[in-house]
Amino acid sequence: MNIIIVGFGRLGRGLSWNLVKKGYNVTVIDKDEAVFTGTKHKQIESIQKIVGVGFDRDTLIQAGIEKAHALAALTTSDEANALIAKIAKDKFRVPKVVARSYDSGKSEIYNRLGIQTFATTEWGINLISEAFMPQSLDILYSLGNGEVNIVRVEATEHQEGRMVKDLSIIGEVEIISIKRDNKAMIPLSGTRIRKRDILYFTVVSTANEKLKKLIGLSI
Amino acid sequence: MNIIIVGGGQIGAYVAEILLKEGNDIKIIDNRESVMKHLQKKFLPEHFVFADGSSPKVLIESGISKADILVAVTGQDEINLVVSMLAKFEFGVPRVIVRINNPQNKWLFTADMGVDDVVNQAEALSAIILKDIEK
Repeated sequence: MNIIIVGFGRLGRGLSWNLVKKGYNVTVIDKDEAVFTGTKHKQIESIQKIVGVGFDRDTLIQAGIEKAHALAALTTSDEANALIAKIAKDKFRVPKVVARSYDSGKSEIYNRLGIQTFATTEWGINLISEAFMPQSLDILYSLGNGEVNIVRVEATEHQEGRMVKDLSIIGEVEIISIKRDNKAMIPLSGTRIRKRDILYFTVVSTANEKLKKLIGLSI
Repeated sequence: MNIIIVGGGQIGAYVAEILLKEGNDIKIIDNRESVMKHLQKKFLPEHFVFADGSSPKVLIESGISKADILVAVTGQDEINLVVSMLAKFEFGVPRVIVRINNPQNKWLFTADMGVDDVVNQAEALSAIILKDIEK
């Protein structure tokens, strides 16, 4: 699988090493040659490096965009990222394209223009704010830009005997899986919870406080 | 006519001046302080906004929903193109005119990027020179 990454900053570098490790062919485009010579990482030899502007046609073709399976636009400019992603998707028909954006107000609209955009700063803000709350939820995974989270809760005697449906709020909080005696299952709405069950919830971030009340983390 | 001009540099300010004289409602958007100082001398406060023209929020506040024409003439092609996409596909502006800075990017200034018309200085200049040579 061929993957193109535009922008070799912290996110671009980390993503490159990760994808190389997984066995993908990674090509990186950055307009600053120094970002390539500046890293001592042992994997630097494993990636193809191209110096150029990420929305320049010749540069993209040189990077093999016509045979790319995925592209990530991770430069420091929200506009450049949106444009690169749009070109990759519409002009070169790259199957999987994502863009990073710093401004979450922009990412929302870019998403509507058909460009899958991640507001990484917004995502970090949501996670850190949640971690600073007096009783924080154990977030395993964040979807979108943190609007929906998957949360792990260990059941105590307070939940013992209650049914899954008692701990659900339609559209806001739902138990998607229970791990009992080290085996995960998908519960029914009438499944009764036992002490020490590990409950996996999906919860919309606006309902975090409701979930905390349901499981007795806050009153 | 309601006209929004993104980019208040020499071209943007010049176009704005002419359009204003012809009796149009104009709004210039630029987020460079030096440009703002220049615009303050030439235009009334209701004619310019000191903000980021590729931000949907700023465009809405500048009245893009009522705009008949949007002109994107910043010095950065990626900004002009993002503005044109937003203007056309998100806000449905009837006419979107965009400046090409780097002639190498010309292939991007198409209808599927929201562009109705382009201003290509490099091409205009070479056309004039070629005409002279042919004489």
